[in-house]
Amino acid sequence: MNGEKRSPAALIVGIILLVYALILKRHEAAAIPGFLMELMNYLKAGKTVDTQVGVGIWAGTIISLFGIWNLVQPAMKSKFDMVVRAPMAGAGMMIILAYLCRFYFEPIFKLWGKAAEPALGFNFATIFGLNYILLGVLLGLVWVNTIGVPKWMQSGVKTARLAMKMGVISLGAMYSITELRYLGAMSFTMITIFVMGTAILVLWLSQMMKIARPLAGVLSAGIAVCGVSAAVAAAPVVKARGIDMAYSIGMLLLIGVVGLFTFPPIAKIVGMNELQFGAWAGTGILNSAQVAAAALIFDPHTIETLKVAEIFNITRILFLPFIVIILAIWFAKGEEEAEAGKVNLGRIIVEKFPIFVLGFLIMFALSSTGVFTPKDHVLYGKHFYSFKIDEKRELRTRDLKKVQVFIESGAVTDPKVKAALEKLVADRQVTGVEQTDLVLKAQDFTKDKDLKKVFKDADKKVQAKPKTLEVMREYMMWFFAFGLIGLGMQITWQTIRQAGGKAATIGVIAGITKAVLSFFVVWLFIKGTI
Amino acid sequence: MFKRILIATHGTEGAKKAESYAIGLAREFGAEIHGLYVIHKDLGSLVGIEWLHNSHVRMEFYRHAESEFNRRAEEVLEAFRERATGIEVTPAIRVGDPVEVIADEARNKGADLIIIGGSSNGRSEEYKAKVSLKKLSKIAPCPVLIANNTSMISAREVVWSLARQLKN
Repeated sequence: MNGEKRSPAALIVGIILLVYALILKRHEAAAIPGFLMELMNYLKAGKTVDTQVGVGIWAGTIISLFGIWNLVQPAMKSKFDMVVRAPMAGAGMMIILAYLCRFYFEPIFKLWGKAAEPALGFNFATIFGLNYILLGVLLGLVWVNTIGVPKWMQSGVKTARLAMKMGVISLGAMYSITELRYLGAMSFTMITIFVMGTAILVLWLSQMMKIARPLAGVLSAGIAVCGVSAAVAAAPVVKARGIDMAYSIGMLLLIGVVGLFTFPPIAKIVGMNELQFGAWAGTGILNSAQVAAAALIFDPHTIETLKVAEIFNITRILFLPFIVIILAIWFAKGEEEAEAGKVNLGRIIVEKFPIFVLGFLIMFALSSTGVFTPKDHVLYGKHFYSFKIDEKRELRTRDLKKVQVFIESGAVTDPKVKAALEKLVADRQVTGVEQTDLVLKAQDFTKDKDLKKVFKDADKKVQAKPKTLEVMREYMMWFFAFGLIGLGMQITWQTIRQAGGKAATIGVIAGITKAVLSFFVVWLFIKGTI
Repeated sequence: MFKRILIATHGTEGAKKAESYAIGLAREFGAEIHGLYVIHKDLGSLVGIEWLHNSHVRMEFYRHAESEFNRRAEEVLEAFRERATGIEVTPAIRVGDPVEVIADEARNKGADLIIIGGSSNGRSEEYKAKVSLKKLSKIAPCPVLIANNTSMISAREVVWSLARQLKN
C-alpha cells in the first residue's frame, strides 16, 4: 500500500478472483461449451474445478471487501491495518499466482512432458519435477529479479512467513505417534551428528583461514543449523559486522538455492524413496524454508516426503537456541570486555525458541487424541482404516470365490496368512489392523496378477479418508504453495551477489561436504519406508 | 568556482580516490565539503528468506544490523574528516537508493559539484550494489565528477579541464 494513499489494488485483485470463480462456476454448472470448458478439458482440470471455484469465491470475497475498505479509508499505521489490511492486495495476487501454477502451469508442463517424451527419451516434467511448487518458487524468483515486486504487493509478500508457519502447524495433525517416534529418533541422531560436525568444521576452517570471530560465528550457525534464519539469530550474539552479515547471508542463500534445484532431480535419478529424500533434504539443504520446498518439489501430491523432511527441519530448528548459546559462550570467552561471562542462558533459550513449533506439537497432540477423526477410524502405517461392516467395504463375490480357491489350493504355507484369508472370505471384508498386513502378505504366495490385485483391493477398501484431515491437508498445501511463492520472491540476486571472499570459500566447502556426506549416510543407512 | 562539494564515500579504494579529489578541489577553491555515506536500502531485504523466528528475534537482528551499519558509516566519515584537515566537513548518513539519495542530498544542500568513486573491480569490504552513473547524470542538479580508478591526476588538472569544458 502506498503509504496513506487510497489504493484500489486489493479491490481489483479481489474482483479478478471472484469473477474468474463465478464464470467458471456458471460454465461448469450449465456445461456451457466454449473456450473455458475446452481449456479445462485440455488441462484435465476435472475435480480441481470445484477447488478453483471454492477458493476463488471465498478468497475473492474477503479480499474484495477489504479492498472496498482500503479504497474508502486508507490503511493507516495501526497494527491491525499493517498486519491485516495492507497485505490484502499482495496476498490476493499471490493466491492468483498459486492458481496459475497449480491449475495452469503444472498441467501444461505435464502435457508437454508427455508430448516430448518420445523425442527426448525421458519425461522432462517428471525428472525435473516441474510441479506447481517448483514452478511457484521459480515464478517468484524470476519475478523479483526482473520486474521486481511492486509497492502495493510488498506487505502481502511478507505474509508468506505466516503461511509457512501455518503450513507446518497444520502438518502436525498428520502424524501418528509411531511415525513421530520413529522419525524423531532417526532425525535426532542424524541432526546431532551433522549439526555438530558442520559447526566444528566451519570453526576449524575459519581458524585455518584466519577469519574474524564474528564472521566465523555467523557462518557456523548458518551452515550447521538452518541457514539464513540461524545467521539472523546468531549475528547479534557474536556481534557480527554489517558486511559480515551481508557476506554470509548471500552465501547461505546461494548454496541453499543451488541445493533446492539440484537435490530433487539427483534423488529422482538415483531412485530415492520418500523417507530417504526427506531425510537427505532435511539434513543437507541449508535454509529451512527450502527444505519444505525441496520435499514438495520431490513429491507434491502426497505429503509423505514433506512429513519426513519437516521432522528433520524441526529437529534442526530446536537445535538453534543451543547452538546460539554455545556461540555466545565461545564468543564471550574471546572478548575481554566487561560483558564477557554475562551470557544469560535461560533468556536465550526462551527468546530464540520458535513458537510455531509449539503449535505443531499442539496440533499433533490434538490429532492423536482423535478429535480430527471419526471414532471408527484407526491410523495404521500411512493410512487411516475403518473396519465397520459396510457393503462399500466388501469384496465382490467373484473375487471372494477366487480367494477361496486359492486357500484350497494349499499355496499358502503361512498359517497366520491362511487364517486371515479365511476370515476375509467369511466376513467378505477385512476387519482388523493386523489382518490388513496379513492379507497384503498373501501376495507373496501367488504369481497371479489378478489375485494380487484382489488382496490390494481388500486393503484399499477398508482405507478411510477422514474428512477433517482431508480438508486440513488441502488448506495446508495452499499455505505451503502461497508461502513458497512468497519466499521465492525474497531470493534476490542483489543479496546473492554479496557472497564473496573467504566466507564464500568456507560456505562452499562446508555446504558441499554436508550435502554429500548426508547423501551417503542416507543412502547407506536409511532403508525401507516409514 | 565551487563553494560546496558533495562527496559520496564508502571508504573503499575507489571511494578513497574520490575523497582525494574532493580534498584537493576544496583546498583549491576554499570550498566546504558535505560528506555523505549512503546505507543501501536493499540491506533491509537481506533476511527475506527467513521465516521461522518470532518478531522479537527479528527486531533484535534489525537493531543490531542498524547499529552496525551506522557505526561503519560513522567510521568512514570520521576517517575522511581526519584526512581533510583544515576543511570544513559536514557528515551525513542516509538510507536509500544511492543514486537517488546523492542527487537529493546535493539538491537539498545546494552542492555545486558531486564527486563519487568509480566502480572498483577489486574485492571491497562493502555492500555490493550497482550504481547507475547514467541515472545519476540525468537527475543530478550539478556536475558530477567520477574519480576513476586507473590513474590519479592532480586536482588542478581536473579543475582546469572542467573549467575549459564549462567555457565551451
